Amino acid sequence: MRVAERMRREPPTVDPRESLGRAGRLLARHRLGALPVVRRHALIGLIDAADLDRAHPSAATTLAVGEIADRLDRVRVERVLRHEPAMVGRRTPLVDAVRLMRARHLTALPVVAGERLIGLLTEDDLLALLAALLEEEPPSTGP
Amino acid sequence: MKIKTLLTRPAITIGPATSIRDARALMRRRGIRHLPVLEHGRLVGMLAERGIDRADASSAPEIGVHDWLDPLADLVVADVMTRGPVALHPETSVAEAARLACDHRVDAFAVVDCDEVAGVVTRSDLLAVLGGLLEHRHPTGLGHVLAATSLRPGTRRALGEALRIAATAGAAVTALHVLPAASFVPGLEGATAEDVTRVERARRRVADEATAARAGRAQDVTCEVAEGTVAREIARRAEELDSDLIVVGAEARPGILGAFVETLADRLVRLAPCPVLAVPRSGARGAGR
Repeated sequence: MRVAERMRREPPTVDPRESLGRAGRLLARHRLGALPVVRRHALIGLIDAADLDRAHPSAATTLAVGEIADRLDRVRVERVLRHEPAMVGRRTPLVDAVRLMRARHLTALPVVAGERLIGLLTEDDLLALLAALLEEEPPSTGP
Repeated sequence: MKIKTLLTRPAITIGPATSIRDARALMRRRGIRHLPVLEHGRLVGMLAERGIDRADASSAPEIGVHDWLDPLADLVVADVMTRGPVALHPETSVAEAARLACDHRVDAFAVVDCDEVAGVVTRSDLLAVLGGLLEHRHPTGLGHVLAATSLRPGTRRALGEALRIAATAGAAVTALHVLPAASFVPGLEGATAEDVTRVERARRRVADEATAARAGRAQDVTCEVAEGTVAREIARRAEELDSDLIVVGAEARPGILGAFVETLADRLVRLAPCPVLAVPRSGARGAGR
């Protein structure tokens, strides 16, 4: 099984000049753990929910609740994005992609052809695949 | 497979009154990102590294400037933990845990048996199971085989060979027949009723041929009909389907037809994104390539 069989095609992306607030809303709307950061179709980075948590004001902020959302809408993704994220090609064996995601604690892996983003492999899709593979297994093989 | 098989070490837990700094130090020391929070031996919450990151000063300077210096200093686990964490019984299947994790976006489950916390199962643990399955049951040497069939007698062997190779490797198979592009009728656009019948008839013949080639084996074969320049269509479809191998029948007939088929294999080798296997027609000896 290869990455191309399990990746999402045309995943939502964010421009580095868009805001953290928008990135957070996109993650929530698409139920994703990470968003590729794309400039003119070229992948330049990745921003994930953990990055947004780190950018979030502390529990002891002097900002009021309303101000927090406002700040997040004003800070650009490029301030916190991860440059040079791990990425794979469409023909990468899925098992290697899974290994990479575990080793680097990634919730999503961008799939590229050259510099161009062509898909996104998400942890959720891999968990759904795991469930499907185990359910097709004959029950007698279970411990 | 049950989630209890994923619990490899005694549960590392923490109390709600522990300082966040100590909790973070414990996580780093043990290389973990989730800690079940126990109060009087009962599970009351889950502390995640991400929760601590969220409570800590912002990584963005323009937001962090509004944070107190060292905002974690006075916090304890109870301030940051998620209350009412998702707890699973050790006998829960890994499949169910994987479904729950993706349906409810859970990062880590507490595994609880009779009010006792037996451990934590994380997304990373579940992915490790997937890694093992992919390695042993779905080797990636050959993921997809594209069998191009000309539907001529004698080339069925190529399809049979493709199915045999695919069955051995656990690969998926697509049987493809390319109809040479219908002759262009001026002033007429789109498919005519006749074209549709032609394609439908071809699809049925591909399906029949696949059934015959399967020879009783239970094997899924996707049957497709495309229209266009034969070699180019096959190569294009192989690219789209991410095929690892193209299998074609090599008709070693003398004369014009033989030369044409030879050209198809030759052209495919030039155009295809993957290796091409040309199977000699049934009965041919030493003449095929």
